[in-house]
Amino acid sequence: MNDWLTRKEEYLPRAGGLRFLDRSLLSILSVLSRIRRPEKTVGGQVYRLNPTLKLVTVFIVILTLSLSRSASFVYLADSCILLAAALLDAGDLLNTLLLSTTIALFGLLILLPSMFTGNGGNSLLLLAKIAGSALAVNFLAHSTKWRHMTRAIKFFRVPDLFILVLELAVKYIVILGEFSIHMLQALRARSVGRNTHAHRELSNLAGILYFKSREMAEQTYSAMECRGFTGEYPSPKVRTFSASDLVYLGANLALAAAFVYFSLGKNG
Amino acid sequence: MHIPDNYLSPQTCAVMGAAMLPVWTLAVRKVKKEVSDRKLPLLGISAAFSFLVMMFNVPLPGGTTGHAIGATLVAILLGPWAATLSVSIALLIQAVLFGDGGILAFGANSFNMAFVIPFTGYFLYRLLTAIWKSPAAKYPVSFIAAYVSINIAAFCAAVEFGIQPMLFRDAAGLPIYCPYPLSVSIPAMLIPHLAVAGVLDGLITAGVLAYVGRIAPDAVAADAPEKPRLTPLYILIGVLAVFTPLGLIAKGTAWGEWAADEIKSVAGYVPAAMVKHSFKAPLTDYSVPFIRNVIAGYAASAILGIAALLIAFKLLSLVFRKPASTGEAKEISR
Repeated sequence: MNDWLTRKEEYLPRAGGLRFLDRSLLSILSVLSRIRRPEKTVGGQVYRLNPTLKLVTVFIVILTLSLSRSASFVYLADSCILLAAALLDAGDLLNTLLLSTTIALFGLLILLPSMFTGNGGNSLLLLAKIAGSALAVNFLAHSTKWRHMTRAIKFFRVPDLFILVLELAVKYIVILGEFSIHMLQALRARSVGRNTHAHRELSNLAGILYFKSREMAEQTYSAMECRGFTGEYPSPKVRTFSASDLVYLGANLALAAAFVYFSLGKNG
Repeated sequence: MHIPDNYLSPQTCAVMGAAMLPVWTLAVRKVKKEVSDRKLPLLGISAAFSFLVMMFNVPLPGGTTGHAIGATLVAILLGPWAATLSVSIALLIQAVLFGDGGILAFGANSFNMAFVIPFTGYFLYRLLTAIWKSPAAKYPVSFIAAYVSINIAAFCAAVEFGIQPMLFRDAAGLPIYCPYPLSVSIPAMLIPHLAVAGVLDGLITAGVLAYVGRIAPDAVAADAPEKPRLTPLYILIGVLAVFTPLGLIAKGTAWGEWAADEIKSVAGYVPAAMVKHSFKAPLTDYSVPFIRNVIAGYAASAILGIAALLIAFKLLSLVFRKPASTGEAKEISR
C-alpha cells in the first residue's frame, strides 16, 4: 500500500476565505425573499389597506417629519408610526424594527460628535426623524405587495414606459437573482479553502449575468410581441375605501392637523 | 453613498429632484429614439442587472467585504442615458422596497449615482480610449473612469451634506440637518472612496469589461463608433455653473487664486511681477457692476461667461474648419 494512503488527512480550511461568496448569496437571497413574499390572506388589516392611500400617506408623513422643527410633533409622529408598525405580523414587525434600528444606530454613530460639541437637542431631534422615516418606509414595504405598489404608482400618472421598466426590473431581479444564486453556489462548490481569484471570478459572474440579461431582454420582447403587449398599462379600477381605510385616513388627517398646530403654529 | 432621509433638508431634496426631472425626461426621450422598441425590455432587465451587481460582495483586505455601485460599468455597456434610467430605477426599488436610501433624498441619490457617475464615467472612458488607442488600454482606462467618477459622485454627496449647516440653522445658529460643514464632510466622504470604494468599483468595472470583451467584443456600447457630440460638454458646463456658487459661499480663497494682499499675508511679500502686471477683470469677483443683488449678479456673470466661451469656440471652429466641405460642394456643382 502506498504511504500517502495510510496518512491521516488533515485539512483545515482557512476561515473567512469564502465569506464574500456567502455574503453575496445571503444578500441576494434576502432580496428575493422580500420580493416573493407570499400573499397575506390572514394577515392584519394593515395588509389590506388601499396601497395608493398608504403610499401617499407615508410620503406625506416623511415629508412633514423632515420639515417639522417641533419636537412634540416629531415624537407624536414617531409614536403613531410605531403603533402602525405594531399592527404588522410578528415576522414582518421584527424585520421592520431590526432594519429601522440599524438605520437609527448608524445615524447615532454619525451624529455623536455633533452631540458632544453642543448641538445635542437638534441632533436628538434629527435622530428621531431618521428613525421615524425608516420605520415608515419599512412599514410600507413590509405591508404592501410590490405589484400593488406599481398599481399605486400608476395612480400618479407616471409614464407607462417608466412603469414597464420598473415592473420588468422587479421581475427580472427575481429571475436573474435566482440565476446568480445558482452561479454563486456552483462557484462555492468548486472553491475549496481560500479562493485566490475572487475578484476575477466575481467579475466573470457579473459578465455572464450581463449576457444573460441581454438574451432575456430579446426573449421578453418576443414574448411581448406574441401577446400583443405594447407596454401600455390600463388604469386600475377604482377601489372603494373600506372601514379600515377610513380609520387609517382619519389617523393621518389628525397627524397632519398636529403638524399644522405644532410646526406651523409655533406651539411645539 | 445612499443618502437616507433627514440628513438633507427637504428644500435641498426638492432642488435635487427638480434637477433630475429634465435629466429623466431627456433620458426617456433619448432612449426611445436611440433604442428600438425591440430593445425596450433591455432597460428593465438592465435595471435588474445594476441592482444585482450592487448585491455582489467583494472581499476587501482585513476579512471584510464591500459592494460596488457599477454605474460606470452599466454606462459603458449600455450608454449613459440608458444607464441613468436603469440605475435610477434600481435606486427607487432600493428606497421603496428595502428602505436603503431616502424617499425624499431619491432625487439627490439619483443625481449622484445615476447621473454623475454614468456620465462622467462614460465620457472619461470615451475620451481616454480616444487618446490611448491600444485595445489593451481599455481595461486600465475603464478602471480610471470608474475610480474617478465614483469619487466625483462622493464629492457631490459631500457638498450636499456640507452645505446643510451653512443654509439651515435654528434661531440659536445651530444646524438642523446634517451638522457637519464642508471641511468635515468632504474628507469623511472622499477618504473611504479614494482608498477603498473607488478601487473596488474600478476593479469590478475593468474585470467585467475584460470578460465581456473576450466573449463578445461588439457588446460594449461605449466602443461603438460614434461622431463626437457636444451635448455632454454643455451639460457639464451647466452643472459647473450651478455648483460654482458654492465657491462664493466658502470663506477662504481657492488654492492658487490669491489676491495680492492675501499673498502678502501668507508669504510676507508680494512678488514684484505681480505688482507690475496687475489685471483688472471686467467682472471682478464674478459680479456684474450694475447689478446689486449678489445672486442675480452671479447668475448674470455665469450666463455671460458661458456665452463668451460659446462665442469663442464657435469663432475658433470657423478658423479651424476643415476645407473638406467646400471640396464636396465643388464636386456637386461640377
